Amino acid sequence: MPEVRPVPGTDLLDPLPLLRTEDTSEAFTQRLLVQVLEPAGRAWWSLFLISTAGTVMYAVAMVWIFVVGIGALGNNIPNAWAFPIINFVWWIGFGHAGTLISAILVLFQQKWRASINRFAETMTLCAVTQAGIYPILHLGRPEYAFWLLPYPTTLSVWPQFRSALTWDAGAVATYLLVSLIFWYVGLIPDLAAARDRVRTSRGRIFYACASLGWRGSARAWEHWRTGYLLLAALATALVISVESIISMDFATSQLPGWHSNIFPPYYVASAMFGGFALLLVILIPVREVYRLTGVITEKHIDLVNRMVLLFSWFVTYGYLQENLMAWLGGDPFEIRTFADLWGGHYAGWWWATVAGTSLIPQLMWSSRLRRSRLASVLVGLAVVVGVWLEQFTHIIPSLSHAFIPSMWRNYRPSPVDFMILFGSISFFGWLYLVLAKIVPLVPASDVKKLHQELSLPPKRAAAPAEGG
Amino acid sequence: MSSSYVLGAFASEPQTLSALRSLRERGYRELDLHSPFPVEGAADALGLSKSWIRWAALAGALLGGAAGYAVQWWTNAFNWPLDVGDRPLRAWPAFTLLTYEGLILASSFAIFLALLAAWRLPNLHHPVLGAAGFETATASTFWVSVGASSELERDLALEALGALGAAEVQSVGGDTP
Repeated sequence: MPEVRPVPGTDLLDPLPLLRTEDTSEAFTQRLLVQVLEPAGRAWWSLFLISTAGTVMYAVAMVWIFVVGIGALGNNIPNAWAFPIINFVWWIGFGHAGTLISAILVLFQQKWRASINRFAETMTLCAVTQAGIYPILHLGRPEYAFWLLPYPTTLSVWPQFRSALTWDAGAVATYLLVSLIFWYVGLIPDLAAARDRVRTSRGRIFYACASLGWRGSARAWEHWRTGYLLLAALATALVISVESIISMDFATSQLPGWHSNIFPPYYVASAMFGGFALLLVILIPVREVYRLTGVITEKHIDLVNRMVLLFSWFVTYGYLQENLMAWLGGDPFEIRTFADLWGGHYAGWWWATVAGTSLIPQLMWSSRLRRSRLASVLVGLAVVVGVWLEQFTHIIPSLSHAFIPSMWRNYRPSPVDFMILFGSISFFGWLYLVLAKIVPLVPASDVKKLHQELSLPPKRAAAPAEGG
Repeated sequence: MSSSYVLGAFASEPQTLSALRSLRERGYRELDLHSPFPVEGAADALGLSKSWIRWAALAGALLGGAAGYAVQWWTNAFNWPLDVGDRPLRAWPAFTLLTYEGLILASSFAIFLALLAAWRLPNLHHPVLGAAGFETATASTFWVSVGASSELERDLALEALGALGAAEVQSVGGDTP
């Protein structure tokens, strides 16, 4: 093997650099922690005010639902699972791309994850929080949500673990807690970096406590690496299981269009797809506002767009498979459900889904568009909306066309449905903005390590046997 | 435990690693390195053994999985057997899901707690944190620390670090002000 290692940015086959910066000095560290160290700008404050207003609206809608009951929503038998469950599955899906980027790409030793993993993990936390609210809103008796826990009670009854509802509760709670641990363990060294740079004494006390007194000791790093890798492995196994469990809420039910064993992989793919798209929508504005263009380069945007394209095909395969199975299966009710999508009551929703998730992402075959910020955000938004519509077209048409005519009834959402949808989007934004102000969103230690690896002269002894 | 620590700052990784190796050859054992990111080869240079966190993860996983299954079996098949259309009470396929989640949850908690134990954190008052200029340890400087339990050891370590080319050589903790 030759000892030459391509200098980043000069490889003809791989022209985009992963990092563009001059040094690893104090200034570079400050740049990586910019959004924590600098006071909030006008963009942050205006977004914060908008999302606060939306969150207040969300609270109003929640109180409304608690007082009036589920009837405040458009849910009605047979469409018992409507917006709350659509939104639940939608949000949990966004969480999964965060775990994919940070955990699965760690296991595959992909260097490009370094600059963007914290963005994605923070997205996971905020999104899973949103997802966790919906089943409680949908319970009808939210004050009894704790009945899902197997706690010893004088009623001497227990939750029924043969039911999908308890699986959801367990899976989502586990996912939130494990994501939180994974996020925090990765964060500790960067919180210490913030502790050493922040200028206010209140901030210093906060970051000193949050970083637990991290000293970057070689022993601590050794344990950190092992622990982080193991957590990544666990999170990878978890993310697949959580989305599979959620898909089983549907797949274990006897309804046309739901009772299908393609659901687990199909849902996992759809979740990752939406998550990568949302990542683009968040990443690009933050990158511009905080001038992080040297850390999050066109290469990252390009790679995330490739993932969007890849998962678009997974999802499209799922659509084809589903429709083909309905057609070949010959079950009249199943055929009727899909016919309703192609040209019936839900045709508009269905063709919008196809446009958002299968057609528009095909633009990303063009390398020019993959590197364009505007195109990435617009395609990202189309996909984010598309995967919501996809959930809609999965859930509603099957419910409104079950096996007996008394269960045939079309669905129409109420204004409160839209209040909780946009309310949760606002709450997501609010949480993300607050965390972005407190927590270093660029993993400083990872990026510095990567920078050092990229700029080090080739080692004398070992040949550069690194997979890309 | 050492009563004081002697610290020296190095600018580059190879320099730091060779300093650590030569200190170890001279018989210093209470060595450590404080770096902004994990340094390849530091574990070798310091003679660290493999992290035991993996065993904590395994123990947590086994315990969590067992507890997950046990709770479901005891509540649904033993303590409160609810017959739904004569379906089996000990429904292991249905119980598998939360057994798996319990395994992962307990293992993650075990890793986190084991990390805190292994790091001996939280500890906001470690003497090293008080060293002048130590904030560069989270930017780009590599600080070598040598534990010293007597004044003689401290003076020898100060001299040794200076001779190896460390900048900002100082001692912290113990009876030093």
